[in-house]
Amino acid sequence: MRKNLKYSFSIITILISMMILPSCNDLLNPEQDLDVTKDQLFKDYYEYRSTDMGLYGLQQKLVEQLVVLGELRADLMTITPNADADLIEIYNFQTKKTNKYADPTNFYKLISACNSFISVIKEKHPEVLDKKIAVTNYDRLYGEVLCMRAWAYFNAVRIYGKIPVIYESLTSVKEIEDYVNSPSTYIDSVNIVFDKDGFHNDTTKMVEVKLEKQFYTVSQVIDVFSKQLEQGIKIVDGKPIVGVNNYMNNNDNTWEVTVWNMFAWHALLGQMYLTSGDLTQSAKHFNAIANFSSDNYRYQLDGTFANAKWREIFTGIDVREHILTIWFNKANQQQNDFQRLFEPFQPHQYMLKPTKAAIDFWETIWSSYALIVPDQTKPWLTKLDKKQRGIPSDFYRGFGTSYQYVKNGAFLEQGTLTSKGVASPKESYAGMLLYKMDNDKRSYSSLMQDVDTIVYKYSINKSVYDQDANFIVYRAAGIQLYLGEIYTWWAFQRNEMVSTFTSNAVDIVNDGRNYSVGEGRRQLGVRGRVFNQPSYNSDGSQSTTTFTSPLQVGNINYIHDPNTNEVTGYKDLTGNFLGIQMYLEELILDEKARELAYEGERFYDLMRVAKRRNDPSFLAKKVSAKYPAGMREAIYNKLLDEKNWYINLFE
Amino acid sequence: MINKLIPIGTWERAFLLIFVLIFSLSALQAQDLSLQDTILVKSNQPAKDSILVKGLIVSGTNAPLSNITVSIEGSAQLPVITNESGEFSIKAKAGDNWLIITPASDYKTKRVFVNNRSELTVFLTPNDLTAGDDQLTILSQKRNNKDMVASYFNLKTSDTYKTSAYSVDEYMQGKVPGMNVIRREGAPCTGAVTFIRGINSINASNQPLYIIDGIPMEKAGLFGSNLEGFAYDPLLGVNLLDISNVVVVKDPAITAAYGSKGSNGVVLIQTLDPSATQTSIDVDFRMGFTQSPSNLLPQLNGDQHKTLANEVLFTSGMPEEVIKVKYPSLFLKKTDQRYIDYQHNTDWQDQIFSDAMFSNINVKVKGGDAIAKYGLSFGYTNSDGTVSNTGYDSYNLRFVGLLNIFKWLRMNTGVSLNYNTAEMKESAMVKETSPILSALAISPLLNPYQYDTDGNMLRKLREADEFGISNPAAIINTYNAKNTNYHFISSMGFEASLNKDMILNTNFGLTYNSLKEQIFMPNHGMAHYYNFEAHNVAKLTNNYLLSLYNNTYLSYKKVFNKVHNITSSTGLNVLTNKYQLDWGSTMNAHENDQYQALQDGTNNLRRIGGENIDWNWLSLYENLNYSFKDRYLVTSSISLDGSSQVGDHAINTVNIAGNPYGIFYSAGIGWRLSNEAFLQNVSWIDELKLRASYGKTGNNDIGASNASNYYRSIRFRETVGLYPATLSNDALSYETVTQLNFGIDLALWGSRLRTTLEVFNSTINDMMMYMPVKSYFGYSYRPENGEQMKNNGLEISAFVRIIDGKSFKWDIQGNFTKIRNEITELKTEQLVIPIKGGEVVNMIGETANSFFGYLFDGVYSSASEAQAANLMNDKFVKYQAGDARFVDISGPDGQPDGIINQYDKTIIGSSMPNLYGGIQNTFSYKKWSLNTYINFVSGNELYNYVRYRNEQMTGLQNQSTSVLSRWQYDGQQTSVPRALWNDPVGNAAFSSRWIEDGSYVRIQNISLSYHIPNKFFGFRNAEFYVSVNNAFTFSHYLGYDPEFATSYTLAEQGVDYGQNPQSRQFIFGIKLGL
Repeated sequence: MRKNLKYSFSIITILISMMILPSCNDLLNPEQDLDVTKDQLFKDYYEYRSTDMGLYGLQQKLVEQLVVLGELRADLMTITPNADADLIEIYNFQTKKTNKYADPTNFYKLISACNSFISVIKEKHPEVLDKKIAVTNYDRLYGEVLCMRAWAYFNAVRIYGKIPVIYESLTSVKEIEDYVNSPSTYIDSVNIVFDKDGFHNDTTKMVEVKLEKQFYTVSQVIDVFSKQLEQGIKIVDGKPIVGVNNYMNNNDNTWEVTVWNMFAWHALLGQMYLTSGDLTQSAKHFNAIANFSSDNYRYQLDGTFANAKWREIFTGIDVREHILTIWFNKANQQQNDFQRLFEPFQPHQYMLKPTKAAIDFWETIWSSYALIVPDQTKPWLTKLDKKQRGIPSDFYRGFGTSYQYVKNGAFLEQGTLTSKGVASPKESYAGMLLYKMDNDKRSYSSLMQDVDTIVYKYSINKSVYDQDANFIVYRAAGIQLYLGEIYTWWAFQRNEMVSTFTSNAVDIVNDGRNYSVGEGRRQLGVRGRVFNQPSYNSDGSQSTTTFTSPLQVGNINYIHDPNTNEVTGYKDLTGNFLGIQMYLEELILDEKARELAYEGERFYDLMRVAKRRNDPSFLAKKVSAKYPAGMREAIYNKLLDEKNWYINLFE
Repeated sequence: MINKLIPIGTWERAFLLIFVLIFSLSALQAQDLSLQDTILVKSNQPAKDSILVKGLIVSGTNAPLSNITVSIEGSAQLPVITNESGEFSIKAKAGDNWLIITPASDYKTKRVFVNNRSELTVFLTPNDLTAGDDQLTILSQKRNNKDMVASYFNLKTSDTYKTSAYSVDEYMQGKVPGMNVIRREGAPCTGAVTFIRGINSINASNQPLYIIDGIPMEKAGLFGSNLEGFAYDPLLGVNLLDISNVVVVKDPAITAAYGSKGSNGVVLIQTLDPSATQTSIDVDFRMGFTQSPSNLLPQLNGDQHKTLANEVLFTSGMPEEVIKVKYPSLFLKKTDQRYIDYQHNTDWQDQIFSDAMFSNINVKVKGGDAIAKYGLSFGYTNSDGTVSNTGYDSYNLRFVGLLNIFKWLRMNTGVSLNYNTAEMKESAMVKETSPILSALAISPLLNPYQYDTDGNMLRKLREADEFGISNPAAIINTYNAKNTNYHFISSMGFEASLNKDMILNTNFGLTYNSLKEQIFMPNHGMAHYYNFEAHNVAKLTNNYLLSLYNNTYLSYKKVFNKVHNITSSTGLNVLTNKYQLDWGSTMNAHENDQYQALQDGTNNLRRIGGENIDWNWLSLYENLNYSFKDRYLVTSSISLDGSSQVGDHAINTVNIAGNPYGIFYSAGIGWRLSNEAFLQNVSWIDELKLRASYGKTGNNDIGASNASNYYRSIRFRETVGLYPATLSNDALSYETVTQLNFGIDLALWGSRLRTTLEVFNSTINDMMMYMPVKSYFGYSYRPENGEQMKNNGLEISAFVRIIDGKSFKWDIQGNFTKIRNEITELKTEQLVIPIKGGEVVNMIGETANSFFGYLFDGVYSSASEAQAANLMNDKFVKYQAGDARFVDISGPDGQPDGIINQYDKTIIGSSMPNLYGGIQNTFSYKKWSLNTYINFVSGNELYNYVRYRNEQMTGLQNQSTSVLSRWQYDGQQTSVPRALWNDPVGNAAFSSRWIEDGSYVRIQNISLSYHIPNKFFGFRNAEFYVSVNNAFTFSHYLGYDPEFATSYTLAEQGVDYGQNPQSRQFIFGIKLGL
């Protein structure tokens, strides 16, 4: 008996051990409670949706970089003595690989997450299960992710000049490394084809990936990804299927404008084609936005953000202006570094500030002035009408909105200014303008001593701890200015006559006349929106508008003294149509500086115009102007070489 | 060869010399006595059917011992007894018989292999010394001390009660050869960081595997905390006074059986040893007194600080009017109401430190009968910290029981319950709440309390002024950081004898550990938090760990033909862990500081977070020992390990049924020369053994999720999205440590002198590093195996009883370890890891995680000198007179480029000592005993972060008096740069200026005790003792104390983030036995 017991005990013990062994697989791969592994994910639509939302979180990580690289290298922004070594490098066009603002990792984090998502959709092809439904939510997600990936690549290539394109079928680190390091062509083992009518895997077809395409230039990226956006995304009734229309589910119409949608798709494609010089395609996409009419006056520059309301563009999200916004919210633990970079108040660091050129764009624009033109043919006789010399400064977009003056820790007061030349109080912004108008240099410099200029756009209505200003990727005003630029150059032959559209361009910027959608609620245009004196009917609709400072381009173009507005000369472009186009292009670019300053596009605007003119000195001259003497020439010379417009990290 | 491997410096030579002196002294003395017994040596007799063995039994001093019983093992014949002159003679059946020598008292039993001798002399070992026949429990098997082939150390724990150590890791400091123990701080009960034989991992744990009564302990530093400077040491859950035996195993000969948990060494701890059948009750009462730290830092006085503050402000470029508006306190007039607030000369360090009390009671009960035996202990400790209002309270309860169910089936059970609470403060990493940093930084002009308008001092704490420094008195009195720990371990096991050679064993262990932390950062008196966004903050952190463990094994022990001795242990370890961390923080509850709960703060400033991690381990192991004729010893271990941490396609593993398994192995041989014919008659040599072992162990602490492709949550608007968290590596595998060890064991005169010398060389392969990857992967780092480093070292340990008189005894025990760590393979040229206030780097040929910064070469004394140097900082600002002179080492093209930036950083020190050890000296006279214990560390560098804060002169904080010699005028020769607002030049950048020699010698403990010779008020025995801990420290270090460790992370070792300094402690105690 005892012996039996003895053995049965040992047998039981061995059995217990034996039972443990087969369950090794579970033991060695425990299911984690919080961190979800890929094979646990993608069980239902909501998990796809969560992963899609995750991509937005990754877009948020890019915004400081976009602003720093798009603005600090251009003419509207410069460094302060507080700038850190990395910002100084960018400012000096000597960016090292270790520079935190130039690090492409976050672009590729978004790209890699998109790739992973795209390959999941392709592999699992979820909606094939129900072919009857024309458009599924999976199609929408797919379109959305393709847009995000193309946007990431497009932005990255504008910065780095040449970038590796990583295909979604390259799933492992080894595959990516083999692909990048393969001597001539790389043959990918699995190719999954996404078809408009459905999804299917093709595991048999070997697709050669050619080496020279591993590093794509700007034009290659645009070529590949514009095609992908036009052809890869389902188009139903002429509308691309991009983004899940969220507000239909939760009745919150702000949801839609912040999510990639068909308008953002148009904007991205328009921007890509414009960069590559395809004005026709570009105009097609931008016009699709500008011509869109709906009950809610979507993307129309009407009175919504006119005059003093202009600054509300940055404090609220609205379907009339905002096409794509990456938004932040402190309460939901989403913050960015804009206030840290721009504000001088504790705990911020004030490392970047506006240049004098930027301030001049706002402060030297005059409204409501009049000229005395005794003889159209003798422009040298033209003088400023002393009785109506006008009011300087772009009061709505400039001081107090895009920038601020800070003296001894407090903002300079705005004050009031009348055309009669009275400012109250004198120690105010208006007073300063008055001293300038009167050429009172002593009072001017005494008032402006120890004054810091700061970028204020991202601080409007923010407490110092908010740090959650939204970042606008595309907005209606930008689209209209792009269109202005396109119409400036657009020309085609008709009946042996060349038709040009410069006046359309002027109209778009001045009063948006091209795109009027409703009688009761007229377009105002980018310039008109902040330089008009509208009167309203009793129903709130606008009856008349007086433009007080329109964009003016003609054969004779007067040059004014920036301080006093006196006419100091003129530019005769009679018979020089190219000259007029270039002059207009520059005026539109200046207008863009006022409207879209610090929104991350300035350097690329300068690049595009310089390329169009085939004149690197256009960019070099504008950018180098902000540097101190001595350095200015060096930077100018450096920027004559287009290669230096890029941060060449992928050499 | 050793000399070649390890360059020997001055310090080391000195210690070597001391060692050689002591041992030659003792050897000389002993040799006199042993001359005569060499005469007794006779050559071997040929083997007969039966031989007469004549012998002499002597003590370590060569005095003959009478009345000692001698018998033949396994023989029925009656034992013989030695005569007056210690002689005996006994008949042995054969030359391969064993003699069992059983002294009546005072000496230990000894087993002697006859080995065909007919005459022999046997030295006996007194009961209070370690003997070769002492038994160790390794892999749950009893083994003789002398038969160990592995490198190990058996630590005596008989004097634990006399030390200030609370946990066993602290206690081991300086006592175990090869083990470098760094006590974390002076606050009570904070544990220690332990490195056995150098750095064995850069990113995974370096802490050894602790096995308490057969149950593995969770790793130190596992628990998360929101309190800077706190790191949880689970060993605090084991009452040091409960520990009866500690064996530290350092080489793979044994640790390979622990597979992927063995690479940092294994510490086997046995608590209550319920072997007695007679009931005994032991009670310890201890009282202690800790002096407040005596070596306070010299700070500027009020006037000096005011001058400095003005000077710093002058460099800010702010107009004077602005300065006067912003910092009115510097310009107060007598008529000003606040004038009186700024008329002091407070010694703020005095305000935060105070003397502290300590009390401890322990009750231990043991007893039982032939069927059931038990041990029960209870301990209570209350210990205050020298930082006022800090302290520790703990309750320990432990029960162990053994039950003989049948003759062949036994059961053991153990329960340990530990509850403790601690009141703490933050380290100097956080300037708002660290008592030390605020006490150093606050102006001495101020006073802790407010004044009323008539100039009378109130009991109301002074608020922080525009200088933005918390009132240290507010930190002491109203800042609250408390944690509560429940640590519960229970175990149950069965042991079945299958036959007389084979035992089957299974042990289950359940560990539940929870640590709850509550912090409240008050409003009043404090500089506000998070860039002044918060006036008060409440934080709550909860950690939970649940582990289930099973070890089932079969042990086998058999002797064949009396000369072949085999033991084997084959088993399976299974360990599952579930860990959960939850934390929440909230800000800006009511300003009166009365509402301190998480729900009281402002809604949109509330943050929550946490993690859940599960990880499991499975290991199949075998350990085999074989000895032949007590002369040749062979050992070998192997284990097959599965771990959830490694990837599905982990490198260097074998795939079994779809799962990767790591294989770890070892082999060792030993040769007992003292039993060879040519030495066996040199009877004063008890033991002379050469050992060699080689093997591979692993480390699976490579992150629970690093090898899996998982998603992490990220917020967008009101929703939460998911994105791929890391660039995962499914080939991620164990780190491995391959070690080669040579050892010599020598014991003379009945273990009166025992010494061990060991040389080892270990190579750490497949180290898991977070390697920078190409940016197009979308991630900055990826966990990868593949780096390699080496540790070479030498350890010597020795014990000698120099004088062994009847009433006076003099013992010396010492050890030292010489070690060098070197990175030998690295995928990149430099792997830089940022730490707070500096950087560490890994480079081939250098010690892992060396400090990486500029070389500070004094200060430009004049404008012309600065101009001549023509250097700029990384922001292209030229250095001026009074700026720090950093050496322009290199540039982007490998040449000095005139710019001080990343290219000019170099290795400026390493926190790892290259020599450490300890010496213990004991005098005993009759019932008195005086014990002195010294430990030392040499060759390490420390980053004095506190001094960096205390001498940077970039703001309005008070500074150390060394800034009095700051540069102030052109031509001034000094090594302290000028004062500069916000330091735009970077004079205070991380550089050799802040690196100091970390060597120290510490008289760690002096104790005097008295055993009461006769019964004391009815007690069986009693002992009174008094001890001084941390008595004196000799060091050049400029901080409070050269020994500290903020965390268990390797990168943070050697950085003085201002932990509470260790200070002198007196303990008075009485130990009573019933």
